[in-house]
Amino acid sequence: MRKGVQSFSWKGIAVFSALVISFPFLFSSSFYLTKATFAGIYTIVAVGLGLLMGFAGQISLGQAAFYGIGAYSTAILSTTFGLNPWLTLVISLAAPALLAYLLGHTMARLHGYYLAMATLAFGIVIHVLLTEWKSVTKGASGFFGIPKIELFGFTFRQGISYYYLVWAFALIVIILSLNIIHSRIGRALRSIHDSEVASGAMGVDTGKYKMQVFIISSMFAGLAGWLFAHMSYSISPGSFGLNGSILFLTMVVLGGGTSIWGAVCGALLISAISIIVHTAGSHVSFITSDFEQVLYGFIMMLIVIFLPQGLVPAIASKLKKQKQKSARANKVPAIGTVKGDQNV
Amino acid sequence: MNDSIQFLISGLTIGSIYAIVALGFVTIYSVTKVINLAQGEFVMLGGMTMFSLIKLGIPYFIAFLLTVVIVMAIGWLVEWAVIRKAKGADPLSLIILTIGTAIFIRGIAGMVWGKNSVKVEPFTNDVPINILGASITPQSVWVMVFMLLVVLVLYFLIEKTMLGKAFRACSVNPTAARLMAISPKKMSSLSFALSAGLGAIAGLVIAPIMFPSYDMGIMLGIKGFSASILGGLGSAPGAVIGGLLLGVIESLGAGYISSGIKDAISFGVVLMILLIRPFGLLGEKNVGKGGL
Amino acid sequence: MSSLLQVKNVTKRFGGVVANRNVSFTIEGKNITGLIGPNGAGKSTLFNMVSAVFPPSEGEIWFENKRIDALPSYKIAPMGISRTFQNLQVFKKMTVIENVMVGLHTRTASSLAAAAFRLPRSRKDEEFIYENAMEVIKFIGLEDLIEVDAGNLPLGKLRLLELARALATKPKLLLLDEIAAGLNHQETLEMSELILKIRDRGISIFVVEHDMDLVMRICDKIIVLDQGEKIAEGTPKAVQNNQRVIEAYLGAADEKELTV
Repeated sequence: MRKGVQSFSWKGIAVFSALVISFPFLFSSSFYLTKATFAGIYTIVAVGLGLLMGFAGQISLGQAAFYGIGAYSTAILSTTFGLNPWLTLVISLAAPALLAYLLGHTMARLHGYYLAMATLAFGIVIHVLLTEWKSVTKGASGFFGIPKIELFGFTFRQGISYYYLVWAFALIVIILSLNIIHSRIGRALRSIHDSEVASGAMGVDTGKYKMQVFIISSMFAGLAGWLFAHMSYSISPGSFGLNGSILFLTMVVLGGGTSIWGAVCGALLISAISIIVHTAGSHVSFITSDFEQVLYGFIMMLIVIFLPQGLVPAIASKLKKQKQKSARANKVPAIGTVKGDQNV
Repeated sequence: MNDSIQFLISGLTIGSIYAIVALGFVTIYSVTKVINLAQGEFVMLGGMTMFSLIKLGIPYFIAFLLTVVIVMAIGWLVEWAVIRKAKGADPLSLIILTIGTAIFIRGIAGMVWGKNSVKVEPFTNDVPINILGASITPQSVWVMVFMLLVVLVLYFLIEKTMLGKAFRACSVNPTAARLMAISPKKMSSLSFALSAGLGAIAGLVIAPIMFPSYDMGIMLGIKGFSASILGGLGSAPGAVIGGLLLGVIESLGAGYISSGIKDAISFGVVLMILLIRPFGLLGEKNVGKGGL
Repeated sequence: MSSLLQVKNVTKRFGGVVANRNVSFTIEGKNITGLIGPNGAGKSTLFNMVSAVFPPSEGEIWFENKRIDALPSYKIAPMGISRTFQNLQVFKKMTVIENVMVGLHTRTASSLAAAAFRLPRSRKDEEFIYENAMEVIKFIGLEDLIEVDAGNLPLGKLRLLELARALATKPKLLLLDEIAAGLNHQETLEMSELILKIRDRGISIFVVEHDMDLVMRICDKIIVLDQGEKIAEGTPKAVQNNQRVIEAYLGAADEKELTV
């Protein structure tokens, strides 16, 4: 991924897109299709959270709140006020961004554990508001009757069309994120990790970029919320609580936040695990939703202890080392042709 | 007027629990610089274990002691099997690690005890006492008494014993502590066992009031964490003040506005206080940065 | 015309300890200025203040007639001050060229949104960054290593990389913090050639250095610190013959002998 200095490899995107496109032909049952659609929605959130954790070095324990704000903004505006979902998409992006901006102002002053606390508190406050502000959100039982998204007379319904809609957005999010990390700002963010003092000496305004990435990550979560709301006929606050935030966290930790593909893989793996657990659960009695929680907890512990960078960066660095080793063995300098790799 | 006294009393009761949980955070943090977000699970384990032991027919007092010992052992195990293995991890990873531990323990508890709340008998009789027109259950009194006891015992332990000196040595300078034949590893284990014990006590005393269930830990843990952050991470007096304050805010919010949004009120206040004083009420500027 | 850098009556206290007391000096354009002194003389503190790592307790620092002593460090680079670090602060997980590209950060300005959507502005910036980074890398002589992770480089190359990264910011004043520390004789010679070449490009250089040979060979002017205070300033020759300097160094040498 880092081979080309100015751009990422389009090959990765092409292969991944091919997989995404062919999936419905291989697994056409509505169960798999729904799960895969959710995987796309989660991917969007996870990529944003990965940018925040892996590149800006910040933790958010309240990411599900932004997801929820995106979902409820569009649900309320398109159902109660009858606005077109494409119009409310703007609000689903802007509302999380605005809140992130406000919260980010406190973040600039809050460090470390205090920041974790602030995002945690924020997530809980939003969850409580979604549950208790019954006149607007209809409370814990959920918000019903959300309209479908239409485009040129075509209606996206849950199933194959919605699957493609979600993954089209997910691919856009992945490409935008790859673009960001392969730019001057992406390099600036990565440099902060290695030496904040040197970044400063090179003129990198670390606070500014941390803030911007926080806003981007909230917008991605908002977008995912918008997609989720219009996929389902109804939404309820349960999807946007602490458990949701922890689920997103698990995805990023598992896949590895320092790589965009890591976050993608994390989201896919967790979705796959969830499918397996559900399938197994119908056969084996002790496999319940609690078992799923135990598994997530176990995964988080294992990864932090044994592969703190997450799966994808760990595998990537291993491959890289092998490549350099074999290159050295062949007495060929371990250098890629930089210019040749620019696939822009 | 009577209402406000009533709210104050219930606020101080739950606040005392938050204070004990917060002290658990402070104990581990001051020795190891780890924020143990699984702290609330110790509280849950305290309540649930007590329930199971009583159900087994073990006398109340013995069950009480046994519960504390069992949960302390679990705390020690968590440190030995999980936290110690990730030594040198950055604060961000440690937060994730303890969250993982928390949902792991909670999931297991859900499988062991099921989803229903359980009932634990109060320490003494259940007849409310009237004070200034407000009624207070004897168990609430016990909660506050235990909070004070915990504060006293901890103070004695940290200020007057060798263990306390060793704890403080590890906190200030682990290398120097090792030179003085104090093992930071052992102190780390002990701090986890000790704060698991604190959690267990909190769980035990609140169980008759709260009807414990497998998922009570996460919210209590977060509240305790908030209390310790509110007071200024690393400060024991701050933890107690933060806990009581949080309890009272929450109880007043529940009483005068709505019980549904009590969490929003208390966390809203936490956010506000962090805005005004980013380092907590009694916190020093550099505590809690944890290198993040 | 006034000086490039003016340090006016700068004092720095850490708690009760005075690291620098009332230090004043100037650095002129297209010059190499050396800062020397026995261990603990306060060289690094002074250096960190000039590069805005922390502000002075008293006094002022001016660069090109702009006061800089209260600015955050990231605002210094775009004004034309760049530095290297004695304890090597390269970005270890990034490749050599990426390290240098970070040095070009402030010479470009395209936004996050421009980067995300690869707007023409961003593309142009990326091309500019790449070309200029390559130019600096070739000047320093690291072109064979551009794709190697900085963490895998030997010490000598790391010092060169720090130099390249600092040069990429296109500084008017380059601060070199013990750039020759840990280098062997040959590498030190090459480094001094390189420093002279950089000066000839019109860049002023301010060096803190332990290697006396290097300092005496390349510097136009030397400032001597002892116990936080400036005790001498002048040409290498003048400084070498200065009585107070000799005493400061001999005193330090005495102590060294005593401790051996």
